[in-house]
Amino acid sequence: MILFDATLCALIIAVALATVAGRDSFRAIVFFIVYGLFVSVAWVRLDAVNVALAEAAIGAGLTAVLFLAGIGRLRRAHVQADQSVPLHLPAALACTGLTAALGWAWFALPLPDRPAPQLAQAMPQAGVENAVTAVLLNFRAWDTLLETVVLLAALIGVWMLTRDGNWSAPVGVPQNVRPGGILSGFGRVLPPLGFLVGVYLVYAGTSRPGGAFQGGTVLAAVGLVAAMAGTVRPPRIMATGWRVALIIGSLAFLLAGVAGELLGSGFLTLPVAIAGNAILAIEIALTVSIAVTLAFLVLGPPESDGSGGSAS
Amino acid sequence: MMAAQLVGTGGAGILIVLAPLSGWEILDVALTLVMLAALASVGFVKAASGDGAGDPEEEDSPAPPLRQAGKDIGTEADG
Amino acid sequence: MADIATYVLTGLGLMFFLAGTVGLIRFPDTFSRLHALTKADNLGLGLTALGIAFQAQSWREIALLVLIWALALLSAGTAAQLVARTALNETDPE
Repeated sequence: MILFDATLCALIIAVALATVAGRDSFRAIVFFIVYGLFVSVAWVRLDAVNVALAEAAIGAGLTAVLFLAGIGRLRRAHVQADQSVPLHLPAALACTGLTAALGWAWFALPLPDRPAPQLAQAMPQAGVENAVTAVLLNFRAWDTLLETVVLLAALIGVWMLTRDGNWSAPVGVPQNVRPGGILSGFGRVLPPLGFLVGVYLVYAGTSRPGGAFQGGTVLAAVGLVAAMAGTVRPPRIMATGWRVALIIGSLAFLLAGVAGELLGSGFLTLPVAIAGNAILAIEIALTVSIAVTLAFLVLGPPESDGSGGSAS
Repeated sequence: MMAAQLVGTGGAGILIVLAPLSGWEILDVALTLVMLAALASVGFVKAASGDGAGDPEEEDSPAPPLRQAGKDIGTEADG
Repeated sequence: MADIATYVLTGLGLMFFLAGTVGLIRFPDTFSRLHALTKADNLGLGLTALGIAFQAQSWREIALLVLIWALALLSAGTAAQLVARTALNETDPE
């Protein structure tokens, strides 16, 4: 196994270097996906399957599609790439400095205490069997609540890029897909399967690796495939139902926190009796929010002016 | 472009082989990887199409730029 | 007995993966590379999944393996068709 791990480390570094070298954007994104895959396998080797799931979903999948959507938008705007500079010097220097600082910090700081004994003691009160979900949604719920708000803030930042005239248009670039072709057929076959996989990941998160973030990302991917294949038309920013879906995760979290306060155990502390069901309810609401937020993030601000233009 | 699909299939293969050794939860990671490789392939095909949002099978789509070795994202041909 | 089946099938699967990768490197143009990729990799994944299925401990793992293979088959087939069409458009503008 040592040989496998050593090869994996060498491959990760090689692929990372290959991603930033070279000029072709497509090639860089392909290497980025390969990098995400190798890092995911590395997390599996480190026994962190929850993180591996998140890395495969967000790192290898969603971020790559975000970059690809960016290339698509640039192509629409007929942007000519800057041909003269082979290397962006300030960016290269900043990244090298950051890498060196991280490497120094890794060696200079002492290893932190393992929380395993305290965690094992506290697990019976958690309400779920998966330790990562327990920490995320019960013991350190404050951090997760703030994360959901940060996601929402990022989405608002993206929406601020919309031109005034486009505000009432559907989100994202208008897609044109040949009706009855392979892409549109794919957009009808994949989403139901993907929906099942996403729901399974959320439900499995209570006792095995999984959880709201991973399931939500798979559901966002499903929505993105449906939108890009022209099966569904992306909603408008002003659609009330979708706005409710965006905030329902943070709201459910806040409600649970307030309920904890009212039941006497403190803000965001779940009493043991209801912890299991409360965590599942929060996870469902969180999954909906995360899926919708991530899908909107990748689709981007509305591009058309909302008049005409069919999606399929 | 096909590399995204290859990574999904190859990665799923690696993880499937690791599953009896490191725990069967890894199959969920393989499943997620295959799903997202599908998304990435669709993303690639869309980005390589004529106007960034088209279908390669359309009859009247704007012509995609001719690929040359080492080119970048700008469109050489007008359309 | 199950272990022998696992070794044989997984070994065959890995051989197919290798053949697909060699085809990807050696074939001259996009279309033959696509051909090598889709056929060899899907068969490779199928055989590997079949081999590991002998080691499974419950029906859940077998169902997951079948689902992974079916999903890979579906998306690889679709992606191959779309990539081939894109490559055709790029090399031969009408």
